[in-house]
Amino acid sequence: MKRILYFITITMVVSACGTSRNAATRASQYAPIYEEKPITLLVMPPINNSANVEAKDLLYTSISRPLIEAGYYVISPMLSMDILKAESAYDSEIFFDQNLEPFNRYFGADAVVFSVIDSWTKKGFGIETKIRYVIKSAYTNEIMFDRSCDLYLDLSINSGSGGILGAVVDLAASAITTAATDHIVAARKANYFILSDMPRGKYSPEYMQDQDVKAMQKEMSAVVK
Amino acid sequence: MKKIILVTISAFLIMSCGTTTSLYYWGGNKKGTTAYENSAYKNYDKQTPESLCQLICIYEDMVKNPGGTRKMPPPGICAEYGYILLIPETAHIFSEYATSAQKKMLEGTDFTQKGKELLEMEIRLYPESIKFVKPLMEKLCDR
Repeated sequence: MKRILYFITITMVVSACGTSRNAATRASQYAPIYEEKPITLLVMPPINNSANVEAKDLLYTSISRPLIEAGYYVISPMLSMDILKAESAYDSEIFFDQNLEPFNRYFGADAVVFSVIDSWTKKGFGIETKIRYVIKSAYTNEIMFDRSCDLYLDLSINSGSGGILGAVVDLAASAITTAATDHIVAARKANYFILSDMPRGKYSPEYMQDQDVKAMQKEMSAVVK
Repeated sequence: MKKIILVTISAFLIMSCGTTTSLYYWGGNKKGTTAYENSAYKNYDKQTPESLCQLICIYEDMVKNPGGTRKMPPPGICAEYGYILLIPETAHIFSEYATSAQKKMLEGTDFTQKGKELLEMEIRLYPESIKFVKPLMEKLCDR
């Protein structure tokens, strides 16, 4: 009995703290980040190819936090936006394939964060988004991070009450939730989901210690609650 | 038996160490989002005097009560807060529209002085911000 308990305990510890050793590690997927070690990131306004006109602002105001929590210095989008607008640089499409060195000169950015919203729609009792995130070096223009994700934010409610009446109650509650839930939540979840794969930055205790962590696939789909 | 319990407790403690902890305090969490994100988006989307007053108080809370593992305001927050305080209309809007509780938070504050101090604080805490914040400070303080 004692042996079994010890075995279970050790297994729990190993599974909780161990990092996956896989060919697709952060080191192999995001090598330029580990080489250049960017500190300061500039977030460009999202490129919105979706029919939802608000999606651009929703995403723009919520991209910085997951990057900051990953250990980077992110130039405040609120402040950079005014400058970008004044310099007629608010349309990211123009800069995606251009020389990004001016962003280093004016903002001190080491890398520039682009995002492309391809889809942002309500579907069933949730919100469906398709977003691509690309981070490029402000020194070499090289792509350092490129991930896209079909993310479905499931807003349905399951009260746990059984029977037909329970199902009707759940259906009604889900409809109310979907109508009332702000799309901000979807933007935040999408940002957090994808950007959680970023190698950790200078201010993270995991800085330059996460090379062996398993990386996400380049294109993926997920459902989040 | 005592040994087993001790090992099990230790295992749980180690496991809890592996959970994600925030590097910074963002004004508190509600339904998976933070007070800062909610308030910043509201103020960005449709700015009203009330949304501005609320955002100012969230900044004040984040700067005064830094938390998370780094125990300092997140990057950019001091710069944003300083920038807002240095906008000439801000002091007037705050004195007109802030609630009594909000006014109490910033009682006796010289908005211009505090704005400058916050921009300096951003550079002190995050030296890499100097390239961006210094020109901003010169522009705002020369008004």
